Amino acid sequence: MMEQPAQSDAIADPVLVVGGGVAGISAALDLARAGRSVHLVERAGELGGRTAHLDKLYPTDHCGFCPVWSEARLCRRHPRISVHTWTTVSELMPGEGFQTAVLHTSPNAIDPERCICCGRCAAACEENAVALTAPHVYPPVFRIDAARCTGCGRCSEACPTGAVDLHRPAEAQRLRIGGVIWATGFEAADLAPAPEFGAGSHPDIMDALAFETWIAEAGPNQGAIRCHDGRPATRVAFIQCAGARDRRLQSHCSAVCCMHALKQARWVRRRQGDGRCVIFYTDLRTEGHGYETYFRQAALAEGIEMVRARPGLVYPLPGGDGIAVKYENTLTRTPAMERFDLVVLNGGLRPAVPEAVEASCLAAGGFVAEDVPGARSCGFCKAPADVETAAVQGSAAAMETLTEVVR
Amino acid sequence: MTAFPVVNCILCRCHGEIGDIVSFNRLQRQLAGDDRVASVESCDALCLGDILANLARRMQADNGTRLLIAGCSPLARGEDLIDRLEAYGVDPARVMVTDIREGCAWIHAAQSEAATAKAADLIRMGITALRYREAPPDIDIAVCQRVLVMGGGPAGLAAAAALGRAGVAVTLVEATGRLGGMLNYLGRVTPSNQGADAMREPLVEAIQNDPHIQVHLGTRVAALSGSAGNFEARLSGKNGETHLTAGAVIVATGAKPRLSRGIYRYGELPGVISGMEMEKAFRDGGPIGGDTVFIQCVNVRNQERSYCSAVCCPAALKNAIRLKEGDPGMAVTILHRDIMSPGRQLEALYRRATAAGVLFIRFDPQEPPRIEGRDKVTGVTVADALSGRERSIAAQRVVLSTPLEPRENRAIPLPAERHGFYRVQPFLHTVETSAPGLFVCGAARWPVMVEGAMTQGRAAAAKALHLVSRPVCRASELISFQKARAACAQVLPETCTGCGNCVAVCPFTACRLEQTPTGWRAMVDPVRCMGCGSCAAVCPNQSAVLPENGFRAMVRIVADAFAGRQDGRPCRTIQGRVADQ
Amino acid sequence: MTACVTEKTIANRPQDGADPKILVFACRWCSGIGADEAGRQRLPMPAGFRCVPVECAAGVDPDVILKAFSAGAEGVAVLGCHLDGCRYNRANHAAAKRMALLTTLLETVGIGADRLLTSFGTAHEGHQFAALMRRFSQRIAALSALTCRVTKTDPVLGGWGDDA
Repeated sequence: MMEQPAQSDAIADPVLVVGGGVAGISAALDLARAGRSVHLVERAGELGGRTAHLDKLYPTDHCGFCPVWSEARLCRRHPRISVHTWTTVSELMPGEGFQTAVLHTSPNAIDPERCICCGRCAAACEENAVALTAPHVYPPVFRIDAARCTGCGRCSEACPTGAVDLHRPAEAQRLRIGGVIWATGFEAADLAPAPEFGAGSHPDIMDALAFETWIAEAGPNQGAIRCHDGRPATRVAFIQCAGARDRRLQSHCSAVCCMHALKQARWVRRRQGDGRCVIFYTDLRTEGHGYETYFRQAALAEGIEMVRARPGLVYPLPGGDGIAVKYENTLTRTPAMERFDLVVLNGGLRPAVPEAVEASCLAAGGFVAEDVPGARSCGFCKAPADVETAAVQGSAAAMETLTEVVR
Repeated sequence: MTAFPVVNCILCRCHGEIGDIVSFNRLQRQLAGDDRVASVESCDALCLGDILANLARRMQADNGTRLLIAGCSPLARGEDLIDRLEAYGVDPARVMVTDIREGCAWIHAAQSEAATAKAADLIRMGITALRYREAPPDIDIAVCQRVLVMGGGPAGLAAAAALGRAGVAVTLVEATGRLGGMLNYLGRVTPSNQGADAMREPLVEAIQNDPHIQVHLGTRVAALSGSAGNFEARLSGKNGETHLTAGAVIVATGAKPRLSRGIYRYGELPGVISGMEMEKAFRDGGPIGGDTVFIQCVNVRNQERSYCSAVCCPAALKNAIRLKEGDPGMAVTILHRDIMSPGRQLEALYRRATAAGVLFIRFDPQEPPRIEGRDKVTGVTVADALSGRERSIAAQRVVLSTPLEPRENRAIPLPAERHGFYRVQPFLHTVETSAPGLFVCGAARWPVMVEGAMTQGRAAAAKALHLVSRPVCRASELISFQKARAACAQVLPETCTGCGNCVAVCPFTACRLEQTPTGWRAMVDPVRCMGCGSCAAVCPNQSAVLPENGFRAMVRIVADAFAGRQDGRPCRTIQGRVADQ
Repeated sequence: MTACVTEKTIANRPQDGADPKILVFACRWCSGIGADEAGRQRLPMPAGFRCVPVECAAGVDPDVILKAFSAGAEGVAVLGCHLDGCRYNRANHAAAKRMALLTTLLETVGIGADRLLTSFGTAHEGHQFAALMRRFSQRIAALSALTCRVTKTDPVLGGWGDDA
């Protein structure tokens, strides 16, 4: 896209977009298309954020990477977007009409520019510390897991292109910027204050994000629904609002989990043949674009059981006999205890807030406030949002940042 | 067809990743014997070092030649190579990448012989595709640098204000006589709990003080045609009809709250009012007394209308709190199926309502509540789904949540989904539609609250700004998910019979039939075409073509696919009858 | 009505055990990615297939598929994306119908519906693409020689258009 810059902002300072998920990508692309230079900062090694790691998206059943990868490539290829991966913002200092940001980059030992993905480093490594990037990441490269690497240097010798440098230094750079867009997304909340869900007590009790990877078509089971010991999982329970709408953890509703559970349950039902799939819910929130239709036609038609209950106790049965869930069905008013093979805890999501966001810029519940001068927020770090909302908010934040300076 | 261009080939060994499996000697021998190929070279890694820069220099010196790169997949390094050549000044249409690593060497590593044969076939197919590829000049659209915003509600106001601030000329068309849309009918706005008028005033003021924005009140868009860069609108208003040209159009026509007479005895029994009437009562500031029951999910979330109207739960929570705060002794009950209060602020509102003493009763859609009363409302009987008991609630007023219904506007040339909301693009382009340059935001797209509508308005403004900020825009760049569209269809008028197949299948309504002196002919709008090739696939005589990747090229490519393996093709002839089919 | 009908053997199963010749039209946005991913994971596959990347499955002309059979392909696969996930505004819905019609045509002319594999949204992961190719290859290998009933002036097996 070689368009001329829009009016009068050719001299404007670049915008710092923090977070390379859907919100950040949308914001960066819209800013760049309007003529602003953008520094897109991503903590991980590639763009795409959480969405790229989802197996499926609701309500269309698209694959998660699908909406993201083409946009991530557009970002990478856009002349006005500098993508900084493995980078965090460590400091943000106000100035006269601009800000100064300090970025910290700790690059991987394998240079993605020189890696030809031949895999000789992985074959040479005795510690299994070298692995290929996740599926659908472009360009495909190998990476060294610093936690496992012993620094023996065999990979470096094996590399035909000299891409491996085990002593690549961390870098810090200072940038003059004119505006920040926070799009740092979310992370899984710690469920320790709610011990009744049994989080962490058994591998077959997992949170929804882990379950997404567990059943992903590109995941460890290639789409099959299994327990951790390899048995097929014929009874799967989804517990909604586990870690949300709960004063002990966080009082907000995470907004995405009802549909997320319906989607996962639907794919479980489709793949497991016969077997049960139960969603324990409190309120079913299907208010978004096409969600109610998805619930009625796609999810219920697959035979998902909806039970209105908030289970009081989840615990692994002795002898590897599955997971017990004690609950009271509030519609039939019957207490029950049932055995499940897999239990998915859905709802514990909290905003991911980088250190550089000052405490004064935080809204209730730890979200990044949107109306701080010179900064905007979009996506889940502003308020719980799904993919579609996050993308729209990213574009809107870009528009606000653009017009703020032009005005 | 004019003379075919000369093709140079460069084969990348990828440091043995390809070269150790595929026999490069055989490939080079084969290509040397191919009279379509001018030169063959091989290298160890095309992506590293200065080989690419040298190639680019040679290609610039030798303007007629094309380059086939056989190496890794376009999704690995291939597309980067083309990008880098483009940065050196080489036309990307002259370069093609054939994947012989991911698509051949790596998956047939154990079958060296077969992999070599396959690589030879793939390269042969690539050469054919490259030779047949035509690169018609891109179309420069002279963009009218004005945006037409249809609808002066929150979404339209936010879009117009943002564009005005960016210095873009905006025409804002509002059908009623007053800007503000739904803000004119609401008491307070959830979740900020700001007064609707207090929210409306600064928005409208910003619009009126902005010299870039023209406002037409009491005006409708009677007709809309054209394509990105040049939309033609016929505006009909108090002063008759006017014509307007705009580079982009933002549809923010909203939805209408509607409640049919007879639902829950609405319109028949005094005391049964709609949520919008409740809002009006709050706006008028009149004293509101008497025990109140809110009923949610009125005529939505059912088989016929399987969507949630999204605004009614927050509205009921807001009004219930307000009633309760005005008179703590008042009994306020909300009968609901699920309280839709996702997120942070709405969930907090729900908690506030509970704390204020609002009673929530869940009902089953199979057993809807019944309104009691002979000549005015005396109460509601509802089967409480949680306790299982039938409960009678005394009430002087029943408020039926008003669902949002899509507005029908025949002037807008956009497809709608089955309920009537405008269909938007999937993925990350949900304010964009199948027509580039035409954006939808707010409740015209899907029921949404004021704040969300304004966010969508700004997002649509960002997309429109991209289009109209330049006087000239290239048609190939209008596609949202690609750097440039892959192709643009053409119809050959000499052979077109005007059958209309292409018109029927085109997913972007880019094809249309036109009357010419010699009969009906199909035409392709080169601005709307996104290059999917549907028209070419259904054209009975190959009149609709993609010059970049046409039928003739495909036929040759297909023939090349197995040209390397001419194993026995004996023919035998028998006499017989054609079965009547 | 009587007419001169030719039954033409387009492709015999080769004796040397080589993999069946399969032409794959892979949508660039879905199965093309799956094919790429399969390569990246180096999943072994029968070497008889040739991939033609297309922008959209809707752009695959049924005539081209027939040409492919007459050019010696023993099987043709048209792989598109999820029916509701098309980048080109639901173009693949039309493609799915078109391929269903083509199946009946293939049955009629004697090529057989088994030789056309149409699949939407099932090959976007590497292992799926590899499994699909292996299964389809086996299916084609199990079939006998590819024959086709043609009348003398057959538009399908007629000329090649032009020649380069």
